Amino acid sequence: MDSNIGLTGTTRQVPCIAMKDVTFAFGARAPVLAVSDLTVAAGEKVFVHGPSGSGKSTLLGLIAGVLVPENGTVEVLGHPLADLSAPHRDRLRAEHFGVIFQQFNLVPYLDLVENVLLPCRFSAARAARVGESAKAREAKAREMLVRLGLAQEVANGQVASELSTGQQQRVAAARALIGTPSLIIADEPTSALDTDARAVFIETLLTEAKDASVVFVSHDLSLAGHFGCKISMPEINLAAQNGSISESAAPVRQVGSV
Amino acid sequence: MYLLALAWKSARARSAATLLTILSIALSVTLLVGVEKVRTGARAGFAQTVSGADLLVGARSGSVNLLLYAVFRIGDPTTNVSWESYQGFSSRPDVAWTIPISLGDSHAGFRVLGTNQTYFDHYLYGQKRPLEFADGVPFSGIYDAVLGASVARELGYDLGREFNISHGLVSAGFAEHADRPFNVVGVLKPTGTPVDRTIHISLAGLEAVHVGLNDGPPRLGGGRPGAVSAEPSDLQPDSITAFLVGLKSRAAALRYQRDVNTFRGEAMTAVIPGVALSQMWRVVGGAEQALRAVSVLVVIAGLAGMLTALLTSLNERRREIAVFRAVGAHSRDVFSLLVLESALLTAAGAILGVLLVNGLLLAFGGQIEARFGAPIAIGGPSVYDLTIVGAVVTVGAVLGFLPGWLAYKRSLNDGLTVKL
Repeated sequence: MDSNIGLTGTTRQVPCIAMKDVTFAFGARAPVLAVSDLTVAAGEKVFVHGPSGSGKSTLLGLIAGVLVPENGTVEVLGHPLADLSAPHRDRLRAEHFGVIFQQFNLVPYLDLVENVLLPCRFSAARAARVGESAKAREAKAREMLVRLGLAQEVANGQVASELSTGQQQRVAAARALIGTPSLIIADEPTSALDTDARAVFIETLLTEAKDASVVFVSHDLSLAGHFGCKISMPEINLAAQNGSISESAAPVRQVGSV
Repeated sequence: MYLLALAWKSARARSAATLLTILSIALSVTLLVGVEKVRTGARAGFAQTVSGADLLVGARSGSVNLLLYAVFRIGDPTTNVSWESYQGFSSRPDVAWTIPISLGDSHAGFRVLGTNQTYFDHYLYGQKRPLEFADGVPFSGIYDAVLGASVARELGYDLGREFNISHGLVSAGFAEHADRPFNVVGVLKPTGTPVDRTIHISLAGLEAVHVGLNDGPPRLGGGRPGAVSAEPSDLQPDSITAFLVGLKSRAAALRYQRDVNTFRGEAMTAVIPGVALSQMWRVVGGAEQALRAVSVLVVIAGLAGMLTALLTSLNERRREIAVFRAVGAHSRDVFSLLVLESALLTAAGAILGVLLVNGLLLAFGGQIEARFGAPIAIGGPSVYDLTIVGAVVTVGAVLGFLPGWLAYKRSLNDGLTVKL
C-alpha cells in the first residue's frame, strides 16, 4: 500500500484522521460502530467498502464531527473533536472539509455557482482561500465547474434541478473541492452513475483533490483500484462482527504509510 | 445576514405556498387593523361632532336614538317638538343660547338642516372649535343656503349656485319642492363631522318650501310666491326636530334636563351629549369586543396556515438541511433558517395587510364617511398599525421555533446522511 503520492513533508507530520477505541450507538441501543484504531495520513486516498449496515455512514459522521462517539477519541487534522464545541466542529468542517453525498447534493433554489460557494458562506478562512472578493470567488467557482465539464450549464445559468444526476454530482465535487480542503469525504458519490461515468468521476475527483486526503465510501469493490488504500468496514468494525465489543479480539487495522 | 438571504430564496422557491401564506396573513391583518381603524374612527368622529352644547332636546325617545338622528343624521326622527315648547325652553333665564334643528329634506342625497343664525355663532366641534367659512357668509335671506365642505366639493357648487330641495332623502319627482331654488351664499371649511355633509338653510326657508305643499298647489300667477310674498315672521314653523341648548352654567344641566323630561305640555327628552355617547359605547362595546376577538382569531388561523406549510415543507427540506450541515452550517443555523423564514413570511404578510387597509381607506374612506357620517382616520399607518405588525411578526417568529426545533433535532440525528 503505497500512499505517499503528492504528500509534502510538512503535512505528513500530523495524520489527517486518527481514531482510537471509538464506539458509537444511536441512543441507548447496542453500538453500531466500534473501531479500535484507524489512521488516515494527510493526502492519503482511502477507499472504504462494506455492505450497507456495516457502519460506513456512521464512520463518516464521526469523522465529520456531526456525530459524537460514546467512547474513544477522534482526531481530525490534529484536533481532538471531543475537545471542540459543536460550533467549533462545524467551523472545522466549513473550513477544511469537502463532502459529497450519494445524491441530492445541491440546494435546489440556489444556482450552480452559489451551490459551489456554500462552504465559503460558513467559513471566512475558506472564502479567503478561494478569492479575495466575491467576484473573484465566483470566477473561481465558474472555473472549477468548467474544469469539471459543466461549461455549457454554467453559461446557460441553469439551476440544480435542471441537471442530470451525473452533472449534479460534478457540481457537488466542485463544492467539495473549492478552497483546497484538507479532507474530502465522499459517501457513495458514484452509486447513481453508470459505469463509465463512475470511472471518469473518480479520476477527476482524485486528480483535483491533489494534496487533500480522500475518504471514499462505496459498497462497490470494483472501484477500489483507483485508490491507494483499501479498508473493509466489516473488518475494522468490531460491533458489526460480534454484535458487541470484545476487548480481547481487537484486530488493529493500521492504515497509512508504514 | 446570509441566512436571511437563504430564507428568502427558500421561501421564493416555493412561490405558490409562500404567496398563499403571505396573502392569508395579509388579509387577516387587514381585518384586524381595519376593525380597529373603523372603531377608533367612529368613536373619534362621534366624540368630536358636538362639543359645545350642554343639552340636546327632542321628542320623547331613547337618548341614543335622539343623539343619532339629531346630531349624526343617522336614522330619521319620529316626532317633532312644537314651536311653543321650543320657545318656552329657550327663553328660560338659565339658557345662554339654543340652536333649532329641523330635518327631513334633502338635496342630491345630502341632508338639509333648517336652523337659524345661532348655529354659526354657537355650534362647536372637535376641541371646541367654531364653524368657519371657507367662502361667503351665513345665510340671511329666506332662500339663502350654506353648504358643508363635502357638499360643495362633491356637487361642485360655488357661491350663487341655485338648487332645489326635495322631501325625504330620495330625490323623487313628485316630492321636489320645485320653483323655489335656494341660493348658495356660504361654504363652510371642513370639520370632519356630519356638518360637512349638511346643507344649512333658515327655518323660514324650510317653512317656505313647505307652504306650497301644505296649502295645495302653488298660487296662480306666482313664479316664486313664497320668496316674494312671505315675510320671515309669517314663515314661522309649527315644529322643529330638536334643539341644542347652551346653558349659562353647566351646573344647571341636570335641572334643565329634569324639567324637560317631566314637562307636562309635551313628551320630550333632554340628553347630555357626552352621557348619551358613553351609553352608546356601552351598547356597542360588546359587539366591538366580539368583532375584535373574531379578527384576532382570523389572524391566528392565518399564522396556523403558515405553520402547516412550513411543517409540510420540512420533509422535503431534510436533504437540503443535511447539505447545509455538511458545508459547515451550525445546527443552530438550521433552527435560525426556519425561524427567519417564518418571520419573513409574517412580516411580508403583516406589512402587506397594513398597506392594504390604508390603501382601502384611502380609496373608500370617503364613501364610508358619506354613508355612516363617521370620518375614519386616513393618514397612513398609525402607531397601532406598527404595533400590530410587530406583534404578528413576533408571534410568527415564535411559531417558527417549532419547525426550527424539529429541523434542528432531525439534523442532529441525520448526521450527514438522510435516510428517507
